Amino acid sequence: MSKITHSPPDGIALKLKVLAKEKEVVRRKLVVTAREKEVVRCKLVMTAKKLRLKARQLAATAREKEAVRRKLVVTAREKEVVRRKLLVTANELRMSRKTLEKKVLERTKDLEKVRAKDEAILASIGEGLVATDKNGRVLFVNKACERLLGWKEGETQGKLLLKVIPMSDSTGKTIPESERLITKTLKDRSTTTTTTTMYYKRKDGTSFPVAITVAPIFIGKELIGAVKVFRDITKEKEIEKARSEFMSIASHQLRTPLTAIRWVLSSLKRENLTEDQAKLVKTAHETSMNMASTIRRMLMISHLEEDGMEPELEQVILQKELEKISRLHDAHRQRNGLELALECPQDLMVRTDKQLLIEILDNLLSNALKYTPRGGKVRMSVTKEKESIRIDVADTGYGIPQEEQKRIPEKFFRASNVASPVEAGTGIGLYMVYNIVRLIGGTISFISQENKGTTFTLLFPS
Amino acid sequence: MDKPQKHVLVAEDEAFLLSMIRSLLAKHGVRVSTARDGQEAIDSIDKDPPDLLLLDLLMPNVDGFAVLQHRKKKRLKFPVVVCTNLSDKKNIIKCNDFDVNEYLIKSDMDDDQIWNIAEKYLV
Repeated sequence: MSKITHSPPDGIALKLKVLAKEKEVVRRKLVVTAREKEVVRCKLVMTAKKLRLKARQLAATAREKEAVRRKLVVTAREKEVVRRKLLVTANELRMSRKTLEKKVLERTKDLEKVRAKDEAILASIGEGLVATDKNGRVLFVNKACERLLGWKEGETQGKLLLKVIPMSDSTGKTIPESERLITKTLKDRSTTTTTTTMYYKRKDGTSFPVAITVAPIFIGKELIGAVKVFRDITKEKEIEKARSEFMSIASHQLRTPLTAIRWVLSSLKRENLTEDQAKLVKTAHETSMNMASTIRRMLMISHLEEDGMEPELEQVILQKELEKISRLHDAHRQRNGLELALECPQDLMVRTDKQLLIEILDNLLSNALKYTPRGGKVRMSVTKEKESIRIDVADTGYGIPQEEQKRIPEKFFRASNVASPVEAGTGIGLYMVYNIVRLIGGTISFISQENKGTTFTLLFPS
Repeated sequence: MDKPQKHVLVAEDEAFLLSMIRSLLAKHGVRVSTARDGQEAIDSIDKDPPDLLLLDLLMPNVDGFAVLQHRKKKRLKFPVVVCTNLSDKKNIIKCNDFDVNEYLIKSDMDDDQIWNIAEKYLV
């Protein structure tokens, strides 16, 4: 309180006190304000920082956008280039289309011409021509076909070929549909040809002989039908008949004097002759026999080629026939010092054409003996193999030169190593054998080595 | 020689062959009649039927088939051996239809073989 004593009067002191207090209040408020300002400043600083960041981001975006814009500009330019090019191309295409249309028109005209020409050619073929679909229905026939069969134009279209053209064999028997060439071709997808004379029936029921070939038609690998070509062979048949009649008469006229010669020689052989005479007569007699056999073979070939020959089946005892055949060659065999061995199961029977089988074996044995030098061996052996009979005729003879072996079945072919030095041959024996073997439903093959020998193997159904 | 002599009729238009067959058969003690064509053969058959007929097919005027036809019509049963130089299949078939016993090709055999075959039908 002493202070107060030393202080100004109370009023002033009080006023000072109040002032001081007010100052203090103001100071405090200032402090508060300063604090608040500081807070605001801090916030401002923060905001400023955020803004700077944002600005940076914006700048980056702007840069990217600029890059994109520039790229777009480039693309737009490229597009323009493409557009221009397309325009050019479109123009060129329009031009080409026009040229093409023109060309197509020209080509169509050309094709039309070619087609008309082809059709004219097909229509004008002298042979009958029929095309069918894969079910054997007629698609196209040419004029010759209609003329040969007596059908009117277009009448056969769409009909079954088998019904339109009935076929029969030489005896007049109708050929069943399953055995018709067209059926076989469509089934086996291969070309078929008539091997024997067949007859076609015309619309009016009359028939004529034909030679036929049927071939499959493919597009890629797909079978779409067949085409048949046939020819009227009436003329050929007439010529064949004339030839066969000539052969028949000529052979008869040759045989009659030959019979007289042969019989006289054979009766002379039984007479008492000097050794020299006997030799001459024997040779002459053998020659006459050879001539008789040549005539017989010529006739047989003529029959074989005429396809008029049918095997006549009968029971044949093989051993008996083999012995008979071998006896025919005994004289020749002994004279040439050849050994013959026959091997055949006793009582082995076979159902075949006896005359044809004899002809085959006689030829094979005759060849084996003829083309084997003195002292050689010939073996004929028969074995039964399941459904067939196998006959081997083996010799130790001259053999057939390798390079000539495939010519063996040819008519008049004679191997070069035997053509001149050995006995006379005609080159028709094996030709005949191969044809007869086919006739009896068999097969024949051989193996041969020059100067070692030959083995012929005959296989035929039992 | 108690057995009655066998009788063979030979029909053949070739005189030389006919004479050869005749002498051959005669040598074996057979009575031989001959005919130069089909008509003579038919007449001979009617007059004096043989035990065996050796028959050629191709003969002038009346051929061998007419003789076979006659034998069939008359129902004659004597055996027939055809001796011909025709070897066409159709002739052989025709002969089979006439019940011919054998079919021989003359040029394919010797004279004495005829006897070997004829003998079979004369026992």
